[in-house]
Amino acid sequence: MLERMANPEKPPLDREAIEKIRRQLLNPASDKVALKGKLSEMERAFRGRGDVSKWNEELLAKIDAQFVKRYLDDAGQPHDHLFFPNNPENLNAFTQYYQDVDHLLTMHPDLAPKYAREYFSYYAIWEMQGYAFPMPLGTANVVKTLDELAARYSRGFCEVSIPQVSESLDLPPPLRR
Amino acid sequence: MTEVSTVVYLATESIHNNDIVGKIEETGEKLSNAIFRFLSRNEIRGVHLATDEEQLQEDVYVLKDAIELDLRDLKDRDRGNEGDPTILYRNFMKAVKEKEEEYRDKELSGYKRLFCVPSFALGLVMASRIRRHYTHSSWFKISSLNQMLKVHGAVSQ
Repeated sequence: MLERMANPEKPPLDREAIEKIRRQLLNPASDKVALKGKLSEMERAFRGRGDVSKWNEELLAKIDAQFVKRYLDDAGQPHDHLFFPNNPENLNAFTQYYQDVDHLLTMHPDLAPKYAREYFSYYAIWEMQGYAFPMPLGTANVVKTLDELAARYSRGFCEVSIPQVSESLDLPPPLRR
Repeated sequence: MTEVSTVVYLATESIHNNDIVGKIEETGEKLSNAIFRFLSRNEIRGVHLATDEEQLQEDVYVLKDAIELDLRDLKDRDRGNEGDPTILYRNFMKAVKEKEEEYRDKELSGYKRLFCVPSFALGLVMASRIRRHYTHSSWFKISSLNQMLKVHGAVSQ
């Protein structure tokens, strides 16, 4: 994701426009299809990648510290809501994390790729990325925590192909959460 | 005396000569990188041989050199393409194959496993392009990376 945020191509929407759509999408009564339609050009632009080495390690360390602050407890253990879908605490934590990171990108524009702030705003609309829950940027402690959770809940990472199996066996479709 | 040993000899004999770095760099990027890495190794004190982490860093930097060449040659239309890495990153794939062969018959099985999964090695090398952030993290060591591969290194698309 850091590669995508380093995309040197100027994004088709400015940060304010993306932020406005992001806030409107939070409203349950909003026309989500229309709003997502407005982001179609951003979706195309976000497929591009840039030079990941443009990121400054000091800035990444600061971003990483925000992950630790928002998602880990004093003992360095992840809160239960981390990487958990449909959880208000997770959504709140991500909102705070998003604001923290956006603030860092604003305060240190020289340490980040040119359009990192715009692309991060778009990335924060996590439903557009096909995620079931918001994902913090993959900084060092995120990798470490994800690995620890994957090791602890390894059975939860089993690959399944239930839809194909049910089709071939003429079974009802699987229940979804 | 080979070209490398000549330059290393010059380096050790003229350690106070400020021009030595320039002389090494004159040998070309690939060779000068190899020389600098060789010089930075501890080859003298047997009790202070390279740690696993230092060995890993050196291997990753060798692969990083290869991928920097690939990225330099990558055309704009290919940039961001998530296609076949064997096509996009030819130099890297060649280098990772060489690393795999280097460790094939050695006891250092952890390295062998790492370089047998080019996609994982590619991720590591890409991460190493951001100076220090990942390479100096607590999990960037051979034992942790092998554990990662063991837990979730065999997921197909």
